[in-house]
Amino acid sequence: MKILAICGNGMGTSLVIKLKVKKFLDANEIQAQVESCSLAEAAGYLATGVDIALCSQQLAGGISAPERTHVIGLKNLMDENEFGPAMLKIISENSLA
Amino acid sequence: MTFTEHILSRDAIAVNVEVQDWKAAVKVGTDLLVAAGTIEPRYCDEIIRSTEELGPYYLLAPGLAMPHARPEGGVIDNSFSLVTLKNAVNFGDPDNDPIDILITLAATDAKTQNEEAIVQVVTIFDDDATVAALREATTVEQVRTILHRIQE
Repeated sequence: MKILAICGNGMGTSLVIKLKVKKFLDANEIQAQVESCSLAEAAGYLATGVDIALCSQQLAGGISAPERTHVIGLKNLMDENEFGPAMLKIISENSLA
Repeated sequence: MTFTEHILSRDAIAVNVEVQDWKAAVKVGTDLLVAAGTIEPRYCDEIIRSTEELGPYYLLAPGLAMPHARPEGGVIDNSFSLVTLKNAVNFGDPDNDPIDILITLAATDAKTQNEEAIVQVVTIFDDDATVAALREATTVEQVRTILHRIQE
């Protein structure tokens, strides 16, 4: 499974999302490849086949993701309750893990 | 370098600062890094300009911001500063406003350079007791003590 964290300029915010997601996956013993990038780089990453993409709520509408990619928009980037349950649901519904 | 090493080695800390608005808050954080010689003064204008264009893309959680711009915005060296505000200010994001802790980030290139430090930022701000202690601190010395304790 491939997961991508996206933010405006790829310098810091997406890295915070990536680290939070990694922590959550480790705690739930789920294997995945997690990357982070800027909005400008996102299309290139998404073309490689991303299963779940996470970004701030403001950016979520602006991401043109392929059909296979589930996009999760976040408000509080530090709160795993915002993305955790949604992510587990996507993983189980699509048999990603 | 870890986040606490960055902050303590450069003494890039301002505590209980009173500001008028978010722009003044951003400037307190960048002024510390200008004084440390790790960014050019225009980095502050870059952050403000990007914020006006894109919205406050660096709000991490309620009360917590990590203002930053791109390397070409005037970054000289990888660095961080830490600012706590006496009066919280709004950045224009109802989900996370008002903000009273700012971690200003300056990075010379994307991602990997600062991963170690940002791992620690996530760990520190995941810990409610540490965040509460930072908010209660009224002097730079108190914040230094908290950061030293984290470092050990």
